[in-house]
Amino acid sequence: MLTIPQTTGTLLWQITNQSLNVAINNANANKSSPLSVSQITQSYLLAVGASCSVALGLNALVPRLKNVPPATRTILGRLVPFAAVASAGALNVFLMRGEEIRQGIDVYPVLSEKDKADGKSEESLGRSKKAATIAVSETAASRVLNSSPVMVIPALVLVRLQKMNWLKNSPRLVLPVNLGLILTTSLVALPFALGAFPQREFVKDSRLEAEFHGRGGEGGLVVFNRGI
Amino acid sequence: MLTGFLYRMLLVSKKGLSDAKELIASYKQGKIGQMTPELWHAKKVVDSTLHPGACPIYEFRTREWAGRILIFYATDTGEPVLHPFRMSAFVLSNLVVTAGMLTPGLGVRTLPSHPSPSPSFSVTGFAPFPLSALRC
Repeated sequence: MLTIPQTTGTLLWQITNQSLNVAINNANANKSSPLSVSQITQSYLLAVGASCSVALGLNALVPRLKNVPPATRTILGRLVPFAAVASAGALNVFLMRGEEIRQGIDVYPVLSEKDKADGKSEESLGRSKKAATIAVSETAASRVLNSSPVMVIPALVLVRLQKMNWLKNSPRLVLPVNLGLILTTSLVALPFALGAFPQREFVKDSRLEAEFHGRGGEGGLVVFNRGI
Repeated sequence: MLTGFLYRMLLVSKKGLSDAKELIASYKQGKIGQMTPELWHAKKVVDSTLHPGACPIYEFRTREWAGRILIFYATDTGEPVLHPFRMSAFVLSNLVVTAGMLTPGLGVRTLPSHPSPSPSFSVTGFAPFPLSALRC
């Protein structure tokens, strides 16, 4: 029997995932401030590089963990794709948006209802590097948390199901069962994941640099665009 | 509920899309005075099918999931987005790739092996000396 090594499959699916990522992002991107082709290419290559190296590295590492019981090793092995996707997503945010942390982003005072009624508009208080750090870190965290349900729950449930006789006796069912698990998790988790991370971040002005202290709007709050 | 409507949006026909665009256009021109269920449906169709494009307040309307940017409500450039990359297809496109990543051994393909060796092609043929010599 000839087999194509597991490595090929791992690489192929990680590359496919990042390609779908960039295709969806690009097809629906906001075209008022478009990314240049070189930025998109850079981001894509970074993501592919990161996810493939994490996946291959961990695939090689997990079987060598001699102190870990085999059952735990199986579970760790199944979580490798999650680690690859999550770390690639988070790393990508820091690498692509590092400039924001160096330059700072615009922060705005939160307007009260009265201000709005008076027709006041949000005017930038200036650029804050601390706000940029919060924005980029939260985005990175949101990428990890958002990708976790659909990459973790089906993987763990499948490990359990594969111990049962009905699935052991008919390995052909593994793929359809996995599809069902992923679909169910997506349908349940997607609305929650979407609601969990608002685009606009509200923070106390005291969390930013000294120059912003006391300049927040209603409740001492400032607001900025977290970004994506 | 959200994803349910996304699936329905994916199956919208060309006619359904142009009807929805017309309905939205007549609302914008003030021909329809109030929000009706048909109008709301038309808005959902347009939002999930057409390119979101430039929108000055896009930051209020975007969300992100699994590292992907989802844009649900934004003004459109009028061009339909390629089917698999539409937000209405998001769960389905994502399903294929996630299953690929999460199904163990999916990259391992068993190819048909060579025909099994004939009896004459037995282990004796590889022995460095005739096995009969061992008998004595």
